[in-house]
Amino acid sequence: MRGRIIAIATIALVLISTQGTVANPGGNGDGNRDFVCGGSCHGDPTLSAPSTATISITSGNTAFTGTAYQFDTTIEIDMISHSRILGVFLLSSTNGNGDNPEDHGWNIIQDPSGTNVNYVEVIVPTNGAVSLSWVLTAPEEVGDGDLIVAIHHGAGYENLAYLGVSESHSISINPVPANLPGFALDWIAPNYRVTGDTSPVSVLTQNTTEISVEWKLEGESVSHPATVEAGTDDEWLVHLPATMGDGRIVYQVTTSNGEFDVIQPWLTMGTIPPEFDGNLMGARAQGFAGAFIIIALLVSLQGLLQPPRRKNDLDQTKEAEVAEETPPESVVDKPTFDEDAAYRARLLKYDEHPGLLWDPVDEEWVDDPNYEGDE
Amino acid sequence: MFSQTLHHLVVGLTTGIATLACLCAIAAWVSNYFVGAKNARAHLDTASYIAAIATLPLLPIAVLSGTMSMSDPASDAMSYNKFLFAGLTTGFLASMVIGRWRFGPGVWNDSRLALLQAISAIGALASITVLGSIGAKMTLGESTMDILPFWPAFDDSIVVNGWFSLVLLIIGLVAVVAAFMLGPKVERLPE
Repeated sequence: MRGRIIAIATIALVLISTQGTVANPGGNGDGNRDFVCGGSCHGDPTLSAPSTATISITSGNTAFTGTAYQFDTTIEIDMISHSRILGVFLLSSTNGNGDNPEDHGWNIIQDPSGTNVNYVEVIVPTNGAVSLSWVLTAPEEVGDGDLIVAIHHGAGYENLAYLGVSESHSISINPVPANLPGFALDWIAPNYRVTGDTSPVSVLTQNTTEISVEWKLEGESVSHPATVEAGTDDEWLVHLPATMGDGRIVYQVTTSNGEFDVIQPWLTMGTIPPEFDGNLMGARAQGFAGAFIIIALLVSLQGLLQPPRRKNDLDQTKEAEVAEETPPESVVDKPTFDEDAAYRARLLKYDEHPGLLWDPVDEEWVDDPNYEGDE
Repeated sequence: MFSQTLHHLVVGLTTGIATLACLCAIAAWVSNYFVGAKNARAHLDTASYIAAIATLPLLPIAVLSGTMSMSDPASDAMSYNKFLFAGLTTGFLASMVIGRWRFGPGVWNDSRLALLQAISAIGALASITVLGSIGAKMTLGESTMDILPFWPAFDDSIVVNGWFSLVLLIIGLVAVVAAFMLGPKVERLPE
């Protein structure tokens, strides 16, 4: 019984804990996305709530076909999740499919993150206000176009997905006045430059005889003129200073042809690290080299730091053991002792026994080696 | 896919056993400062020695499986750094094993050699921690080491020319041979 209760409690705990992982509180990352559909957290009435954020749009209501148009929005939000992530959509409809402005003839040149997508995620600062800009080229067809801002966010521990949608911003798309200078339709603003790169930025234009460029670092208020060099076939080479680290530079191009001067939207260019030039063989060689050099260093240190060998010389154990096995040699000189002469000296000669000598030690007769007689 | 699974398995084994080897070696060194820790030191020494020997063949398997599991290994600073730190880890661990093998268990009785063994163990432990941290950054996007304020950025690496890497390798090999052949002769120390 107790085991069942524990099992049921465990299952209930697991089920309850899954509620916190239903949403994507970390966001899904920047990308091209349609308006929320009913199946998602932010669109499901049981999981979502309307956002109290204020979305204001400050862009103009007029654009010319095929020319650049800057869309500015400011979002003021009073409650946000602990991660402070806010997802912002730029849409042309709220149907759940085909909502991207690019599906309605617009072309996104640059989004607030420096890429060219319609959904970006930003971190809301502590003052709760976020200002974002998209730079687009207007559709080629004359008429009216709509741009809408939608936002996704969370708030505190309520586990609700909040959804906010702005009023539709209507833009009248007019035909381009004859000979209006602007960017070439197929030109895409570069999003990044390699750190330290001083090579000029190529700008392609149409109906333009002259351009001027102002630049500033992102966040600065004062802009500086850039040097512009005329290229070939409506190409202009703009010399912007190199950026380092995470630095982002913004620049604004004014296109002129003597009849019109058109101030284009501010464009942003980030900085990326240089391309990595390592390879597998180099990495392996460097790795092995590091291993060998460390082994050589530490092995040498082991040899140098070992205890002095003189200490071992004082250990006489082996010599003592050897000495025990072999008897010590006498230090007194051995007398030179002639055994043969001593033997001969002890032999006794008796006249009555010529040719023979008596050995009193062994008590026997032995032949006299000096006897020369023949008997 | 198999190489990824194998890599996870081998990496877990390698880091676990290497950490055991290093911690036991450091503890064996620390035990010198405690009276009556001779028995514990003997056990720590044995554990450290066996674990370090077991790590040495596992390290190249981990590197090879990691290389096979990547579509373009060493093409970015993070994976390049993994090769460098794998080399450093191998160097420190191998030095630890060589020291223990040449001097015997008595290596812990000499204060200078014991300190050198401990330095090798600390170096190996630091290298393998960095290796694991880079791996976590690559697969999970974050590491527990992120909490350290001085943690270096591993999205950058020291890359030298391929030929220079080869020269470094040859210099390393010559240095190892010279250290063994021309260095002072060593003897096992009494326990």
